[in-house]
Amino acid sequence: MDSKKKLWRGFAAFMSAMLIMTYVSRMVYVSRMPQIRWMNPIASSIQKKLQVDGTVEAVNSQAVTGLDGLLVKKVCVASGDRMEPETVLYEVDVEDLMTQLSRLEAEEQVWQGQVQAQRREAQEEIVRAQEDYDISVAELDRKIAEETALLEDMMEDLDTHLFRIPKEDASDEIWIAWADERLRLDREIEAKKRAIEDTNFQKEKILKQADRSIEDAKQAQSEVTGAYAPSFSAIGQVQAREDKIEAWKQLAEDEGKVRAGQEGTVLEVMLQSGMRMGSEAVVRYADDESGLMFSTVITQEQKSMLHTGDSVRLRFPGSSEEVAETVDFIMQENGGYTVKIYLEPGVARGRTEGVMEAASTSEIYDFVVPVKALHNEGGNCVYVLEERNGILGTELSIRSLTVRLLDQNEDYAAIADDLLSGDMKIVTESDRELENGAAVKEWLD
Amino acid sequence: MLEIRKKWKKRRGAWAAAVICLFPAALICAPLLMIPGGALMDGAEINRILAPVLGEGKGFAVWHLIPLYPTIGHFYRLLIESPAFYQLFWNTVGMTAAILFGQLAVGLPSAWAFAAFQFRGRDFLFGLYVVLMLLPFQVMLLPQYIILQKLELYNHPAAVILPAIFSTFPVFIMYRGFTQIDAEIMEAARLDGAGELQIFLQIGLTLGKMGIQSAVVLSFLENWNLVEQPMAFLEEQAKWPLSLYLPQIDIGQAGFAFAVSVVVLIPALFVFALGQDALEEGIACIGVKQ
Amino acid sequence: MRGKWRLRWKSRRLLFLLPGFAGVLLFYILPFLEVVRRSFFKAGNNAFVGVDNYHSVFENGAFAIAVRNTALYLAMGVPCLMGISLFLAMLLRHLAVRRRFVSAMLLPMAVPAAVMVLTLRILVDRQGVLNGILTNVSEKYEVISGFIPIDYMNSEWALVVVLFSFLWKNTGYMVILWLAGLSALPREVEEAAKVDGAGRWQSWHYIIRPGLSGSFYTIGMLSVLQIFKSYREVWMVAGSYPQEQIYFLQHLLQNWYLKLEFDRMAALTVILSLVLLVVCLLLQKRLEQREKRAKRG
Repeated sequence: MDSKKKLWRGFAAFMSAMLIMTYVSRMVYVSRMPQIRWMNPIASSIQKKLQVDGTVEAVNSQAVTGLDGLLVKKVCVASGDRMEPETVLYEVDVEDLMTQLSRLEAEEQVWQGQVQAQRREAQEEIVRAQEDYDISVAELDRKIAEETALLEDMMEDLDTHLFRIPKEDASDEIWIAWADERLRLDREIEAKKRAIEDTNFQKEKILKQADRSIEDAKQAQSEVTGAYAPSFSAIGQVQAREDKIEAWKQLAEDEGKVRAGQEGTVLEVMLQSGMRMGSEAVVRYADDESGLMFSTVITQEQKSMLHTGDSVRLRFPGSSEEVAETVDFIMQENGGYTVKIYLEPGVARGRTEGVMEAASTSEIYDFVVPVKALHNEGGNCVYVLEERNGILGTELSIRSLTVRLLDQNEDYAAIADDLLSGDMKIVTESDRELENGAAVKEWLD
Repeated sequence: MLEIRKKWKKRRGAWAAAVICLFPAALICAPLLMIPGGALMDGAEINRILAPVLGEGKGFAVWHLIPLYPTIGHFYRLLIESPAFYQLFWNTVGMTAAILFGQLAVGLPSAWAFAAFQFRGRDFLFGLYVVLMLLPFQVMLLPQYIILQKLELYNHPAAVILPAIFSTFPVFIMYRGFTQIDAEIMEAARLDGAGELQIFLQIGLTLGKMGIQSAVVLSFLENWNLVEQPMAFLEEQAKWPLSLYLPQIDIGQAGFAFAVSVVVLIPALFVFALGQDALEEGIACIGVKQ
Repeated sequence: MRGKWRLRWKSRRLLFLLPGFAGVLLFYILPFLEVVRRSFFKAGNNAFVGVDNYHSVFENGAFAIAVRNTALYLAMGVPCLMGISLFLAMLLRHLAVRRRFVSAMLLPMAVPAAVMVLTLRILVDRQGVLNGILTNVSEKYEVISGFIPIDYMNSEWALVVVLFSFLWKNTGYMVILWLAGLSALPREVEEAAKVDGAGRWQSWHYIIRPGLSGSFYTIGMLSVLQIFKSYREVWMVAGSYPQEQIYFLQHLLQNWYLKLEFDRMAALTVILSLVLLVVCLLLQKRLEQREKRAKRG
């Protein structure tokens, strides 16, 4: 009987040990469970923030051309600087300038001397031709006057003869003699008239010839002037050289300071002290009239977040202020999209870099979950919290569900799948690595 | 001298019988020795020596009765890390307790009625009980399935418990126990004016104790290892008994399975030890001729 | 007055039986009758089909195999179990230490089926421990030269393995039953016969065997019961579709249940129940006759 009692006691001890271990094993089991938080997917849109760096550019950039052949002594502006008409862009070496200037002036003088000599010669030619012309005309006029005096004499002879007309009863011999005389006079007058006419004609001819000679001489003179400048543009160049000399002279007076002469913002300075300039642009600047724009390049993906007319915020380094602007246009350009935003005058004064921030709101998606809920298993997956009937009764467990990712920002993701529904519990957070099918416990706040 | 020889001669047969019996007894116990060894054997070792059986090796499986790499890892895993085991353990405990209690409450009076009273149709009815006892579970599968569906007990623990309570096997065993009681004692009690209930409680339960106990022990062993009934009628794993937990363990985890079986064996061994006297004497009354 | 009292007395007696019987009626007999009704109807549309279901059972090839195997198993298992356990009981009955033996032999009853199955697999697999031992023995001692490993569960040996595991599990149980029967025999009669010079065989034939006739019935019944219960292990070790030799009627029923072929299953249930009922009643009747004869004698 005693042994039976012992057995009963042993049995009771075993059962109580099992009872205690039941709790212990449950506790161990639960303590190893991942703790999770969950939420139902919500129907919502996705706010996206786009942040890209960009540059400030001129809508139309202007150039200051270099002073050809001059030596830069000092560069006085940098890109981004504001410039007024009086702003000194750079200084040239005055000594060098003077050397250049005197060389240029000497050259000019040589030019001028040669041109004047030629001109004088041509002028003399014209005078000579004029003189020839005058002599010829005077001689012919004298000759015409002589002929005309002879003709008047002959006309008087004829009148006298006509008074000595024989009497009616005069003999025939008389009559015949008189008639013969008259006929001879008539013939002589006629011949004289013709001679005068010839001389006149000759004079006209000589005059024309002399005129032509003068013309020729004048022509020759102009040809002399153009001997050093064969084309019209070359004449301009000469003019330009004269202007240049004039400008350089002024520059020298101003101690070599090259001034902007315009209002605007310096974009680019292509100068270095010590360098000899060519005639190309040395400073580019944006004038105030056409203004500045912000330009940046975004990717295809980012493009879906930004549309023409969207309002964006711009920030420029060194300034805490944000500037609200609107996107003026987006255009496709070698693989990316260029975004341009025209800036209000004065906004980006003196800055060439900036950051653009844009917020876009998507369409309303049916299922939006926190990005934390997504995990990758050879595809985008979410863990769905479910109740599972197992040996331990109804347990919370998680099941992996592969979903399509429609859209996402840093915090939220829009997902889609035929199996998704709004009352599904999507695991958003857990305190340890999750595994498909694992039993989990909820996080009690 | 003569007496000693006589004694030896008398004892010789007994010794021979003992030696002969030792053989089947050893044969029966030998496989059981695998259990504690297996339960304490390192998983790697067990998988190595069983590799041929697992289909991963050539040659033949061997068995180490004493593990080369003993570990209590399987017990740790079972007792500390397997809450499912306890869930099913208590399912089994509850189920077995309910069945035993029900069988006693219902079967005892039935057995008493068969043993103590003569009534018309008693022999036929008892014959029917015996047939019902003998019918394999699979034969009663469809009838029970039908009635459990009707009563909407399918997938409820009662689907296993209720039919088992009305099992006729314990009635049969207890009936055998009660038939050992001298009819004269009861007659005497009746003459003394004792009521039937009184006779049952005072004489039946006292004198039939061994039969009752052996019925309890046999029922316990039967229901502690119930397999087919819960498998047929319980869908939810949470309601399963422990006996369905073991078959789920893959043979690749034989060590764990052995550890489970050790723990499963413990209550059975307790009940066995507690009811051994009754079992031997109680079953004994069954074997005695009617 | 007396009649009334007796009636009341009798009806009160039946109150003992009533709760148990009500349960048996509800959970066994009534659903069984429903199954009998259903065995004449088609499962799907509940159309009356007469004995078609029975026809379909008898024409089923698996049914023939299952009947043959079950009968063979019973025919081998029951006598083997009864014979071996009786033999052991005879040996043990006068031993002082028999309780130790019996305890040891009863242990398998407590072993869970799954563990038994696991152990069995380790032992009788084609590459199992048993084949290993046999191969070693044949190599070393040339007792059985050229032993080829046997795939027990997948050959005609399957039934033998099943039989062995059945004996392993139930021998102790039956030994106890036999011991009980033997202990009830009056020892003096045997002693007296011994004194009279009766040999072991005569003593067995004339005294023990007749004395155990009641036990035969009970132990036979319980052996059959245990045979049917051993299906659990068979199923667990070999599954729903085992080697043909160990495909029993229970496999058939279980498989039809899983396939929801309730009409055929109902017919088979009825057939098997009737067979068992008839056999039991016949046995009981014979036993009663014998008892009457014994009483008269």
